[in-house]
Amino acid sequence: MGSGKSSLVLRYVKGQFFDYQASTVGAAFLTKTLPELNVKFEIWDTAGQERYHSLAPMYYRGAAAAIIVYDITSPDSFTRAKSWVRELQRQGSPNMIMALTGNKADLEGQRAVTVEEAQAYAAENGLFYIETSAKTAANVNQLFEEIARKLPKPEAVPRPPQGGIVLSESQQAQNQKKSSCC
Amino acid sequence: MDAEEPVLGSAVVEGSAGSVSGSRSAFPPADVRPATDTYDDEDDDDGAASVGEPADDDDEPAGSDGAAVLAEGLAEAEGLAEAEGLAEGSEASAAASRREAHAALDGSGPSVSPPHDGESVEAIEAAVASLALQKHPPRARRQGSGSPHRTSTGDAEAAEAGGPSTATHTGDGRRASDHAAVADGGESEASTSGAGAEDAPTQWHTFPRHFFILSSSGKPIYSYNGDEDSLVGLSALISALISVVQNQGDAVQHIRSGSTLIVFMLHGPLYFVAASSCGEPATALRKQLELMYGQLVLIVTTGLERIIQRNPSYDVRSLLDGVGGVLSALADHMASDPAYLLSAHKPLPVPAADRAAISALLSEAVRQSGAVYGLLMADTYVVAMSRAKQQPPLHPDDLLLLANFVMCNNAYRHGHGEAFSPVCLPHFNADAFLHAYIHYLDASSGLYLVLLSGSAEAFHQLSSGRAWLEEQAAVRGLTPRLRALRPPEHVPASGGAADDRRRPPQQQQQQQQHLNVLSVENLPRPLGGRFGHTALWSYGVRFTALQQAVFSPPCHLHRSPEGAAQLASCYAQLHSLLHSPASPARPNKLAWFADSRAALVASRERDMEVYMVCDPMTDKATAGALMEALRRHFSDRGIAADVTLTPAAASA
Ligand SMILES: Nc1nc2c(ncn2[C@@H]2O[C@H](COP(=O)(O)OP(=O)(O)OP(=O)(O)O)[C@@H](O)[C@H]2O)c(=O)[nH]1
Ligand SMILES: [Mg+2]
Repeated sequence: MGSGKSSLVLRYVKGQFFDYQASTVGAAFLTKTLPELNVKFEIWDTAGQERYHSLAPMYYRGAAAAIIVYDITSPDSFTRAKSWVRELQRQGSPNMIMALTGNKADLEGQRAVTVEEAQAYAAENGLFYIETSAKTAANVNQLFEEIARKLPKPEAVPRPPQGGIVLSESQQAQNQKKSSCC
Repeated sequence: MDAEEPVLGSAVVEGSAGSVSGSRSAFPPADVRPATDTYDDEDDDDGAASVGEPADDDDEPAGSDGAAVLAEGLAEAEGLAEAEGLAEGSEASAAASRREAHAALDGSGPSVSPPHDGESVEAIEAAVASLALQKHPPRARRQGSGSPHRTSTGDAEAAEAGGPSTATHTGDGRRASDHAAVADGGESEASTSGAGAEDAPTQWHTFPRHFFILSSSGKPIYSYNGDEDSLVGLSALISALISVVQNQGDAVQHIRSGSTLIVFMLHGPLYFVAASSCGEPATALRKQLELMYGQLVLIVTTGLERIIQRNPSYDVRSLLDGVGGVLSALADHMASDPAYLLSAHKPLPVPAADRAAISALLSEAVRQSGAVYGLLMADTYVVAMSRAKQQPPLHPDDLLLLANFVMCNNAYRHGHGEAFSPVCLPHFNADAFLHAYIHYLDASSGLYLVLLSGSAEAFHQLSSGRAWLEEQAAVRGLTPRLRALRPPEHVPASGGAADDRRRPPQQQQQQQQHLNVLSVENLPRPLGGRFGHTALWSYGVRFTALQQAVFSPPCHLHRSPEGAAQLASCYAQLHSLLHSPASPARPNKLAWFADSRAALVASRERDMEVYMVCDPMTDKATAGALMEALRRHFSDRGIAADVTLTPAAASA
């Protein structure tokens, strides 16, 4: 089962949550504007299924930020999150903001990845760390707002080199990256 | 971790050197040119052993003797083997096996077992006996039209396609060994006698239909019933199957055990198996397997085969997450909608003027966005389609597979963002992906737009093409008309594909007014009328030159899941009768089949194939008159304009 990437984005952008959320095929694109911060998020919700792994660079290339999501009830998903972090460190743009997100925090009883462990890993790798629940909406806005705050001011953002994603002055691109579990 | 992850994308890159992809893109864009067809799309491919010709007194000499028919059938099978080039091993040995099979069928030749596969054939028989699926509830007793059953394996085929289902186990067992004789060219002891049917150990014998996919090294890849691991218990069948199929090429295409028909198909290192006791003819099951292969290719390209070929022990299931659901949905769809047999686009009836306006917008959106194809679909029905210059028309099978893929993912329908996904159209280019922008017009409607591009970077262009189209449709007042379009109500035959669009009947009727033009009630006399007032219950028409087909909405007899499955099986039988003649040189022009439940009639002319399901009391003269009236009705230009896509939209 996925770690909840689509659920997080849907909660954030549309305020919805589905107990049965279909696994993402390919990728999905969503946007949300935060006028008070003068930010427009352009979010790629990528597929966690292994066969789409090779598509990922297309989405994180040139992104201003990436969110790597794991499921706090699944140690395996945490392992995969770490491998995504390594990949993004190697291949992503050097200034990319990375957030490590432990999702499904509402399932405290089934927790398999401790806060301490994840926090230590995040600190070591210079990642922003937060636990969220797409289901209860806990910390979801905080996650995205924190990223918005961390983004460089619009003037300072160079236009991305390739023509794929067009950003206007007041926009920031954010690539939603993931780690999927089982 | 990264090192041990074989990625389809990279496999595909190898396989499609020379594609126009930038090196940055892991999923290479498809060369925007079609590959030569990887599997034949001709409709008269029949199993080698299936030579039965249920009597068709209009075309078939009444007393044609078994041996002669078999010889013709085998000639056909040989031609097919060569055309498909499937036979493994040397041509000579394949030909030898066929000769032996011929001899065995003939019953008069020497029964020489090929030295190497006698054992495996026994194993197959045993495994098949244990696999015998539960008998389907007795089906309609078909009486053919009076010609005596021939005592040949071909007849077993014919008898099952339309024959009495009251056959005893002994009789069934007899048939099973007849078919085994086809495989080993020798003994035909009635040793299997169908006894396995009752005490089959496998858990899924309770299912009337089963599909599975294995790799050549015996690794389970997909199972329709249960999970793939339930296939592990089938190792006996698997190894026997593999050795027989490898030794004999495509000479073994199907085997019958009891009431169960088992059809095999090979694609490189992938083995496809269908088992059914629902009475579909072998041609229909084979077409279903071909489409399942196509569905697999749509999701993973032939890169999957290359991965297995390079590393046969690699467990490819990690690359196939979620694919099983798509394959199962396809299997469910095919059980209730016979249109897959016809390899034809299914246009949704739309008033001609509306269709023209929508098509024009779609063409412009395709042009602006640099897409290679644009489609406006309602479930598996086409509202409009368009393609870039120089692109060949889309193959109807590709369209069906794409539609099934889109319909399987409810995130598309419920608008969880703008969807962009790699898809491979097997007839267009089986080795590479196109990139699909998928957008439902609104969540409640089954109507969706697909724009296909050769470039993985095309998302934003496709997105603005879609935005332009929606805007223009609104400006021109087309949007409400588009939103009112609904696909015909689909009845899932096996309860598999849940339909979340249940609406109150009245609303349904309103929304489906555009479909009325196809319903039997609204046809002119003598065709039309309420149920009971006309002998015609259901019909399908295939417009040959257009590669399009329309079907009437099912009458109330066929609206239940069982009814839908029954109707689909009627059409499958008719199709098989029309397209699998004993002698390909003399294709059947007319097929007729009557029993206590229905009279089935089909005809094939240059421009049109017509399929009719009629009241069982219908006599031949009446059926002939109905047939002629249907042909005339659908030859009318005004009617055709509303129910078909113009040749320009479909193929120019
Ligand atoms: N209890 C709980 N369940 C959640 C939460 N977030 C997601 N889920 C469930 O987890 C499952 C997977 O969620 P998705 O959002 O589809 O996960 P994904 O990461 O997008 O998965 P892929 O698209 O396959 O990569 C769904 O059944 C969700 O309902 C959460 O915060 N709490
Ligand atoms: Mg997802």
